[in-house]
Amino acid sequence: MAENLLEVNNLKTYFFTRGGVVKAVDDVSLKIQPGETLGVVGESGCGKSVTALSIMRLISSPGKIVDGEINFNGENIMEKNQNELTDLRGSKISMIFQDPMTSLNPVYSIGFQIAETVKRHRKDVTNEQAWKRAVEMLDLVRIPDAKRRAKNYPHEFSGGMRQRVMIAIALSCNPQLLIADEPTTALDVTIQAQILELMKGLSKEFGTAVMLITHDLGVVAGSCQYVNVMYAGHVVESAPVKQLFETPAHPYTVGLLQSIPRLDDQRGVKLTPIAGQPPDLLNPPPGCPYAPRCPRKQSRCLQERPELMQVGRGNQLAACFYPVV
Amino acid sequence: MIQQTPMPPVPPTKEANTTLVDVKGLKVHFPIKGGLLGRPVAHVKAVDGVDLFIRRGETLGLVGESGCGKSTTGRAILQLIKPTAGSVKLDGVELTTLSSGEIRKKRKDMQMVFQDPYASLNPRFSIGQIIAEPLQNYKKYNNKAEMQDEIAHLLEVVGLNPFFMNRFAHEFSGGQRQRIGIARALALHPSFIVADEPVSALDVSIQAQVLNLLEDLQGEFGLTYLFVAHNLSVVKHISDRVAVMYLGRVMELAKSEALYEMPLHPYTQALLSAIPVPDPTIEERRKRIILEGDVPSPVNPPSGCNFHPRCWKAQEICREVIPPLEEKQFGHYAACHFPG
Amino acid sequence: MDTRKDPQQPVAPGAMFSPSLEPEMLSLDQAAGMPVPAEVTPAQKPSSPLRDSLRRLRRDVRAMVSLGIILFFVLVALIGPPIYQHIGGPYVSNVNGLTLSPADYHNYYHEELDRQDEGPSAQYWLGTDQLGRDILARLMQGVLISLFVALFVEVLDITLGITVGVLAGYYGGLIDQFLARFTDLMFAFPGLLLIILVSGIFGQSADAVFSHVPIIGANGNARLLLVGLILAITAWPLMARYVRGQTLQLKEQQFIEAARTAGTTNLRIILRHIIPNLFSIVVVASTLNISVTIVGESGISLLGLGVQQPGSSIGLMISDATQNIDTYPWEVLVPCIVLAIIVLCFSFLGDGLRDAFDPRSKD
Repeated sequence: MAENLLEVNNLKTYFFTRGGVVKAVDDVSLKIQPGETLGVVGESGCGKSVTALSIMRLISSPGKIVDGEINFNGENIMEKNQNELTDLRGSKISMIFQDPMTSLNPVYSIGFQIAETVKRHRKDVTNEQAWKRAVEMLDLVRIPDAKRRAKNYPHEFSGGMRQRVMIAIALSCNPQLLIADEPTTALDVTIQAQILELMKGLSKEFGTAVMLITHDLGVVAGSCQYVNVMYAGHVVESAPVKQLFETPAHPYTVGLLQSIPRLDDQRGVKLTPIAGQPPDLLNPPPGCPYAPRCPRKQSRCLQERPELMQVGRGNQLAACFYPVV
Repeated sequence: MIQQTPMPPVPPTKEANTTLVDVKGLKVHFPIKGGLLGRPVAHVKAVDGVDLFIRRGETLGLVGESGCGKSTTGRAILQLIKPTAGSVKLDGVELTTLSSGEIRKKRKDMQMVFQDPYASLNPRFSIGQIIAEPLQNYKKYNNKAEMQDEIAHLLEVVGLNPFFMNRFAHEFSGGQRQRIGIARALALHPSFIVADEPVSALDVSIQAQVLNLLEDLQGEFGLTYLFVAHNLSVVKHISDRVAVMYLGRVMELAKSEALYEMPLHPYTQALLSAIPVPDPTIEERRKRIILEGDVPSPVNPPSGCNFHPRCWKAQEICREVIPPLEEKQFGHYAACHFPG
Repeated sequence: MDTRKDPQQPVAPGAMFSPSLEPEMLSLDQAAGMPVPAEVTPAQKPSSPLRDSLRRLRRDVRAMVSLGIILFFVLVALIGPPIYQHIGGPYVSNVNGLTLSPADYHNYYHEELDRQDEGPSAQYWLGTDQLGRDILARLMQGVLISLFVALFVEVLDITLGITVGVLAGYYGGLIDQFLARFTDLMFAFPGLLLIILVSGIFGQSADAVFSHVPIIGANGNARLLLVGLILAITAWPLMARYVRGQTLQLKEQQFIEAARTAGTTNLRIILRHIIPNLFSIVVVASTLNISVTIVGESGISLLGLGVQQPGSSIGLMISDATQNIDTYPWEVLVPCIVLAIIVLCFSFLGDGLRDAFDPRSKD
């Protein structure tokens, strides 16, 4: 088995607000192999974005990583200083976000912004070489007429194209890991298909591992090899993609799958919603975070919190005392 | 593979064949002002010739990507936006020629559920007051208690406890607020409701709750829905028939299953192939139609068929002649010169 | 396992809500039959946005202290004089030999010409001015006048500002054009000049005409109201602009569209939806404008165009005392300090109100 590119162990990121402590990420462990695409799926508030930001060490007050280990390429990111971190970001680990407009500086051309990233991480590169690389990247992400468009400004691109530009910037230094936080949520579905295809292709071509964060199970099914399901700051299920969809073990995963309408559903099929409301991260109940909504809960679930444990065959893990298998 | 047990279809009502909403040639063009005198220099052709009809008791889904004009269509049908051209008939009555006072009277029969559960409720009103508003506009009650009873009943119908009538909107979650919006829409017992992206802003697990609620209410009150959304899976689930819009026009209109099984318009085919299905086995095997380029601007739509610049089937005629929305198969309409 | 065929729980959406917040412990079979709680609301008491804002305001120490000081001044100005006029014993005047009671010598217009420019004493708590008048009494009267004028101006400012601003913002068109042009005019025209002109030309006749009307006619107060009127006219366009801006923003909100869909008439939308949501911006703008008015009125009185002798105003007190600033600095300092405190307090209060009502500062 290849060594893990990224290994997160028992990560805890809390936000210390005036109203109380928000346990956004509460004991999360995950791993990504080189070249693998890991899907991290969950609804709003489950902690998936905060996990990604924690990995990048981009958490700022009132948030704080209070515990945990983040091993990238064998080195613990938690022990690095600011300089080492800025070296890491953009060159070894890159990140793209949901809204490309806020990540792009409106007063600089796209080519300039890509070249800047290249120059930041490769000190020996000249301006000319950096610009050439910028145009190369734009070509790679299939921006038509890349040479000319490199001189354009962000507002001259559509949403889908801006996201491609973000991918170009993120991949310009050939990182080993790309973290994509809801990269297609704000895009139309036909554009989403383009972007996901692009990401899949580039990942295969350059061997880049991808951590794809999304709330859309369909996206996960089509783009990922391995999936982590998060709920209320915990990973509740972790499995290879086919196993997750064919034999989901955690009641939350089952609930999600039952509640989303599918294109290939028969007419008249009734959705089974998940009962109750999303969890309160300020005062989480003791025990399993999903228990209040879980139809399978027993008294044990309300008192003890289940750890991730092996269920079924292979490497499927679920944090549940009474998994569905 | 996970599949649900199909439930028996809702039995058709007696007037299943009566058309409640009839839209012909609907156009909404927004002027872009410019120049010294502020004259319109161009128009945003948000809706550019839409034909639809909705039968009593059915749900027509209106689906499309951003900028296709579906929300504007919904609002123009309700006369919240004044149509630039075209006809909208509700139960035989032409709405576009009514005065504002007469439209106000008609509001009792046509209501809307809004997209944003946070912005569509006045933050200073208690939810009781929010639901009371339409009642106060049209009905006279003998005393306050009667109206309170009605409000309580409406809250129960949408699954909220009337005990919380005096609470304010910000104390509820997104899904609950959407229920409040639905209760408000139901208050006047309308026959027709336009639901404008009612679940798009909700978490996935809550979406199903609200969708089920809408379906149940339809059965209980005999409502007719125009369900506007960009998520085709959601639209297909709740609708009897679906209309696909692109750049201000309807490209295809058919029964939900027919649209899915046999899409005639190339845009529909591309749309369907782009939608991810939560099933890795299917996803692996799928052949995706990847459309090139971006959606053109509604200020300068392409000549002839809107879709021809991105269509792999495009011919000379597509560039010159706007294909009309015609019945190609029984009950299945498409606006294409080369459907299928 | 085909879990979709075997739903874990028959859900009845729209089912009755269970008020219990505690998770109940059930067996799997029991769980299967239980109605689904449709929602749980965490708050204990209904908290309107207004109540939330007031709560935030209470937490702002600076604003609360300022409010306290302002209220203190109001209280003193209103009930101070009658109380003060009962404190002290009989006094025999050296000027005319009459025996005076505190009601006389603690009056703001009473002169004791042999007791000029005195420092604080048991009889005159803040001393006397150049005409032997009790400074404390004059101060209380001055504060009363200032606050009264400020209130008068603010009432007009708010009424005109809201009316024109809302109509301009909601309907646009001619009213909006009118507002825009009028505002431009007001901004271009120096307000002080207008006040000086009006007061100079019409001040005396105003006094003469209204001299028979009680309260308004006395002591040159008619002139004061005239000044107030002009101050209001110069102030309202700015308020109207704030209101117009806010109205434009509110108009586009989805809940306004929802109100229209529910059949609410435009008038009702304005009254019930728009105006209540203007509260925050109006309160803040008027509080800040009060500072401006008070300083303005003081300035006008200082120029001799506002309150006339023997009436009292902070501005007038400063004006009178400036002549003796090197010999009796106390007489200038006292009204200046009071003016500064009042203006500061209104500013802090205005800031505090803005922070309390501004939704951006919601935790």
